[in-house]
Amino acid sequence: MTAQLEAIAPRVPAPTRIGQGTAVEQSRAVAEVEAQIVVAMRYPRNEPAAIAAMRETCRRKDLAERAFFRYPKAGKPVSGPSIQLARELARVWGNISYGSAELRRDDEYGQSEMLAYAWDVQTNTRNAATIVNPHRQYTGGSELTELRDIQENNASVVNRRVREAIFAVLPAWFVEEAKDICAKTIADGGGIPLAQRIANAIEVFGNLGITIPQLETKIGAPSPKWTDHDVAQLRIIRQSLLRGEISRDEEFPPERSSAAEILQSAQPAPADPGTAPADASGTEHNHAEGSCPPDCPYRQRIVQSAIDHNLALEQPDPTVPTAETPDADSARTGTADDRPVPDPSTSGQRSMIEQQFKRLDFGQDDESRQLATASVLAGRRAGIASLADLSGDEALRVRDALKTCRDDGALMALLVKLGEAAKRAEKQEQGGAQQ
Amino acid sequence: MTAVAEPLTDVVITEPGVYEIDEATYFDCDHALSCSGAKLLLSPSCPAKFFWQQDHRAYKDVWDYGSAAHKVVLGSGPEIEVVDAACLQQLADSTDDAKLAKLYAETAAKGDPDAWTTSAAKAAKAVARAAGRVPLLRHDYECVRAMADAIRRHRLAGALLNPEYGHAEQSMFWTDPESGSLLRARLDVLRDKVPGRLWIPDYKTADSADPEKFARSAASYGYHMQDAWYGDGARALGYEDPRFLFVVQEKEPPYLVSVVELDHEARRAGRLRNRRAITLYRKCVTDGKWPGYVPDDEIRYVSLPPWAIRREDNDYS
Repeated sequence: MTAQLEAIAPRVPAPTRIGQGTAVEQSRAVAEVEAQIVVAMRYPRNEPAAIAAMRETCRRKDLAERAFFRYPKAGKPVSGPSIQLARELARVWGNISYGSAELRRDDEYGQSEMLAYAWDVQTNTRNAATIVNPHRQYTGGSELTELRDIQENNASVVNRRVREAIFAVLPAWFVEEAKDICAKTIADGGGIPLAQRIANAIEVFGNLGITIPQLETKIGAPSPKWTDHDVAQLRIIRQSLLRGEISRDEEFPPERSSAAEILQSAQPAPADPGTAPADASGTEHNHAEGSCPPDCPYRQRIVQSAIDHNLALEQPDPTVPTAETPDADSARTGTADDRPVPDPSTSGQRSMIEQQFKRLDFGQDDESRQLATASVLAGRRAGIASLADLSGDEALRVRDALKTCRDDGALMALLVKLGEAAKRAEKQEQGGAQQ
Repeated sequence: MTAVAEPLTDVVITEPGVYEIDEATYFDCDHALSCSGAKLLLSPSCPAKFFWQQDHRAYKDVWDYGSAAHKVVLGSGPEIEVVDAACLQQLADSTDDAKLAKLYAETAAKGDPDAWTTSAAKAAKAVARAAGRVPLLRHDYECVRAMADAIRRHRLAGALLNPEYGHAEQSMFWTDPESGSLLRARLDVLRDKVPGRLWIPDYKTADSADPEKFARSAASYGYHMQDAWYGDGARALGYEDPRFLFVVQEKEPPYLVSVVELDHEARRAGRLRNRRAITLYRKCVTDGKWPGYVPDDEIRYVSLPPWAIRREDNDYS
């Protein structure tokens, strides 16, 4: 008979040995359940007292601030009553047994089986859920292997199920009233004037690196027009941020790019004939090389050249102003002699110029021709004795200009154009001197 | 393709930074993972395809138009070779092959070719390609110039892609802090000559500049990965809060231009996908294995799609 039974219903694998502690625990659990039911029958809940207790506790700021959660789902924040509120309501409602248990952890398959339940022992209403939780992160899905990570992940998942189980056995009207009171408590702000609370909120979020425009975008109104409800929402958001339920970027996406900001950064600067625009179509631009202030942080990331095979990184000291960008002090005094000597060109920069000349097949057998061309492109009227005379910026300018030339014909055309521009400038100078 | 400058040889970039190297050198730096590579590692591609393409990089003719547009707009990149009657006549005059010279001359006599169908045009295209230039027919070149003019007239696109505001065609290399892998990206223009926030524009030619259609293309072609990739790269190199913007231009008149920014959610999705790709890349490099769609020691169990099952059921019901 036993064999027949096992054939149709195999025995469930069970531990071969039960320790004394386990045996005691099993007996205690049975006794506890029985005791809970007996006690609940003997001392049924006093509903008016439970309602009064709920109203009292929900008016407390400490609970109200923790009564709501917020986390992102499919790109949008999801919010609702928190596990903290659920536990508090279960406590005041009374005769509710709730909790969770980890039934099995399988490291091989990377999953844990867990139980979450809430049980109204007086009405014998029970809500339970068994969860199979993979040991993986929610975002990115990467596998969790550290014991602590697995425990935290399991606790996070099972707590949510416990929360739902508690709310499932509590009367819906009881929960709704509690939520309303909590929301009002947050909105009331403990008697602090609204303007003060708005200022506090701005300061608190400012400490988290969130700007006023970001807050105003979130609320959808300028800060002076925020209401009690808006400030309450911000408090909930702040709590969720601090609890790590939602990240800063998810709740406050970076500000959108502004067209005005781009256009402002592209204001035309004084034209510099030395920097011919890289324009293959020959169309002239109104813009010239943008001037960059000496303290511009982006200037520090000067383009590095890998043409030196030793890969020497060429980063001119941004604190040393170049001839193009005199520092503010020397500009005020107006004497060129006061200006620091610009950085000399590097061998890599000179090599780039030579390569460009080689590509254009220009002056390969006549170095003086190359030097004369380089001096024109660099805007040096006096000429140069060697490429080493060029400063770093001048060398880059020469290289850029050469790069724009498709062939030696284009280079000649550019030289003619620059020569004419120089002549015009010279005439203007002479005219100004005569006047 | 060969870029304007002489190709640099023996350059192995191992340190993070912004480098001015030509396109060929950049592509040869395959010890650093690029965004295109990251896309190839993930579904619908697989690591095996990525690995194969490392050594079998193919050039597609359809890229010519985009390359030429980049050249005209940014003034950087491979030179354009306009294949027209004059070009064919020049080839006829310069070639030593009498038969070929005759072919070139006969075709040149008929005027500018309007398609790549003739033998002479095909030969001229091959010559240009061999010289590292981008071959374009005359009418295509005129279109590209008109496109460039449209870009310059567009207030935002003109400001973003003006090469005078920075350095065109710059290569970024940085180390991924999580995996230690070297990553790379090539910027159309590094706008480092103007103060303020670093805007990273990426010029794309497309059939439509409609932002809605672009959003669908972004999902298909992984543009959201590119956005996050480039932004994170610039951030890793010290730029604060860089912003990536797409400058999308239609290839047909009136060559409409849209400047598009992907939203935070798209960027976040791209960043997650990038992370998966980088992790997978690291694993493949460490293991020395580049699996296909299914690992070679695994049988993948598949079902028919639900609609096919329903169709079968309906046939027999």
